[in-house]
Amino acid sequence: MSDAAFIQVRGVTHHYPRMHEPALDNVDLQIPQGCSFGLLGPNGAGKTTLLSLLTGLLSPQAGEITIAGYSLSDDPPAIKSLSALVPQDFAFYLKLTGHENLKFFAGIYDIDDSQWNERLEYCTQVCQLEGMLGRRVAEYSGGMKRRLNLAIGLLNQPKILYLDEPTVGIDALSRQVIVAAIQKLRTQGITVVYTSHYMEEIEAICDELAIINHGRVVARGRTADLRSQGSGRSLSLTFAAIPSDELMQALAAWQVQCVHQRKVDLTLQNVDDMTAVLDTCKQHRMTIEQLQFGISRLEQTYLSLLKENEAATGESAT
Amino acid sequence: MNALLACIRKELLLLSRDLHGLALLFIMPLTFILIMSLALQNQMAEHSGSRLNVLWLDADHSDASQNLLQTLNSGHAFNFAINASEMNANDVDRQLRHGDYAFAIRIDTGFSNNLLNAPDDGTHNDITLSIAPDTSKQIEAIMVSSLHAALGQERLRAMLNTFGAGLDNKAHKEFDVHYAYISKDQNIPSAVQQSVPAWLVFATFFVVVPLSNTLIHERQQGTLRRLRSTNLGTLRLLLGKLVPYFVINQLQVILMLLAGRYLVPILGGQALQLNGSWWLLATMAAALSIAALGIALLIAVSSATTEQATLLGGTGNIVLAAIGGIMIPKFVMPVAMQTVASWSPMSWGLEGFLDILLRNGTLRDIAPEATGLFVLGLTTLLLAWLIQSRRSE
Repeated sequence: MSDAAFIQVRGVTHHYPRMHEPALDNVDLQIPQGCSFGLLGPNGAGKTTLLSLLTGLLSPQAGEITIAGYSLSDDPPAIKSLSALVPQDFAFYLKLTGHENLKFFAGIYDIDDSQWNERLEYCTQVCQLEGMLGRRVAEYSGGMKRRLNLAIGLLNQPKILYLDEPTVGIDALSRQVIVAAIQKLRTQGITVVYTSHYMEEIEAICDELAIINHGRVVARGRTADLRSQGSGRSLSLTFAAIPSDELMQALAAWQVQCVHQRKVDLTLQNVDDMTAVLDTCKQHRMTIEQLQFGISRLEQTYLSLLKENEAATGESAT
Repeated sequence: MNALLACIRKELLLLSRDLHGLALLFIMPLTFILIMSLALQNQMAEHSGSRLNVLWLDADHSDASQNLLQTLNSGHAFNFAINASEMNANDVDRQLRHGDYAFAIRIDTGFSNNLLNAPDDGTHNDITLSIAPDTSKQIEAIMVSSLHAALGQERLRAMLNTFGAGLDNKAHKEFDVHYAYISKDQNIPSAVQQSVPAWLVFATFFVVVPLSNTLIHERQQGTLRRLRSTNLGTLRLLLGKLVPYFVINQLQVILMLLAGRYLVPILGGQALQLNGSWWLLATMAAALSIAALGIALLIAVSSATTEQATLLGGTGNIVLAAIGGIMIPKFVMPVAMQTVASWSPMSWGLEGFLDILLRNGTLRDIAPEATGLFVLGLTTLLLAWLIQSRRSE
């Protein structure tokens, strides 16, 4: 991975017509070549708009984007020929076979017959589509469709691959195939820009990431650094049963970050607080099955950063 | 070039797997051509040789009644069923209501004797004309005037006889008949000559349904977004849709003409006469296709859903066909409606084809219709391109 910014986004703003707030507001990003870069953010945060700008589907109303030294406003064809977009939807033809779909997009990318067999073999192998391509896509499972979606994106051997939630709505096995395929692309030096709501995927794939909210970059940096933010005081408890309301009220003193059925995440002020938390649980006769202290997951960092941002946005609005 | 060919191939593959679209483009117009050509044969009776059935009841059995029958028969408009048996008025009415005859003419005994002594008060006549309930007023008027003319001739003959002079029974051709349309083998058009161009024009405009369905699915499924992220560009994207459907339109024209020429006769209709030159037909077909594709693309890029496009395109086509003389021939419309009809591009297409197939028209004859269609097509294509480009931004 080279340190020089391969993708440069400087002060980019985009405002959709008839919308009160800009979809992207003065965004700055630098993505090095060969980096796997994650874009995180809630729905409507501006991730897809940013991908649309990077792929030349939209033009920024302010700011500048340069990719591999080409300015997007001056030379979109050069940039488009370097990249491929794998949209969130099944962006192909259900009535055609997998092979016909790949052949069609190969035509769109001007891949001639001499290169076609080699490209087909590569895409089929990376996305594990062997034996499926002769069937109509309408008959594919969700996971197979996702793999075909990715395979189409690899046809033109892109230097940059934009993946917009490429594993949404599929089974764990197919997701594993896609994540493995993307990890393989990293080793080939392809720059990957990846959006997903699955934190474990982002953690597994992305070297760096940016968290976007309300069209602004809330945080950006190396994935490992962001994950460890605030990890020293986090306590994660998994109870034997769903905690009672009384216990939850008692635990409220330690900033409850996340509650999911039997699992509660807390932020402690200091290590001594842990004894107090355990005493409280004992008083309420709740058995603790699992306890984790000092290990933060990306999701916790993400949620706390979003909360902070929401609070700051609320304050600035008032 | 590779990308454009890929788009064309993809559109044709998609259409080949769209049974509803294929049925709409090929089976529907073919069915209309067969049904309408066969159903309208009798409406164009003088052209197809079939005539109106008339029940002839002659109780007088005189030379005068025979001469009257011969005179009426000489017009070749009626097919007389001679029934000498006694039938009462109720039996005759039943036959007429049953639909076997358009008219019944009863000649009472004494007709020949009373020829020159018509009753002054109109209380009784020796001839009664009975009319079937479903006989049109125009046909009734033709029969009444034919009967008046034949009776006048018989009265003249009877009058001349009283002076010892005679009137021969030879049918006199007192004027020439000329049909304004021309064809190679016969100078009269058949129902198929009218219905093939009409339904061919109708079918051409139905490319709106498969074309818009594909484009809207591409938009909804994100395929268009993916295509726009490549270097394909709006022009090649749209050309990739227009070229295959232009070919489909030409195929429709050829198949419909062949159906009129070879299929309709097998089913008992008359064969379509392919008059005019092929290059004029090709020019007209190209102009028609460009207009149909322009409208189809404009609807496709403007509609948000396939349902919206199908409703707009399908209903629009039916309205254009209804006012454009496809479903109801223009010549039966009142003048005001004919003026409205002239605004329908389907009417321009139909008139252009009729100019070639019926009127042996030249390039000058079809120029107004062809130009209108070209201009409409190019305008709507330009609008569609602008809308699509704007959507892309």
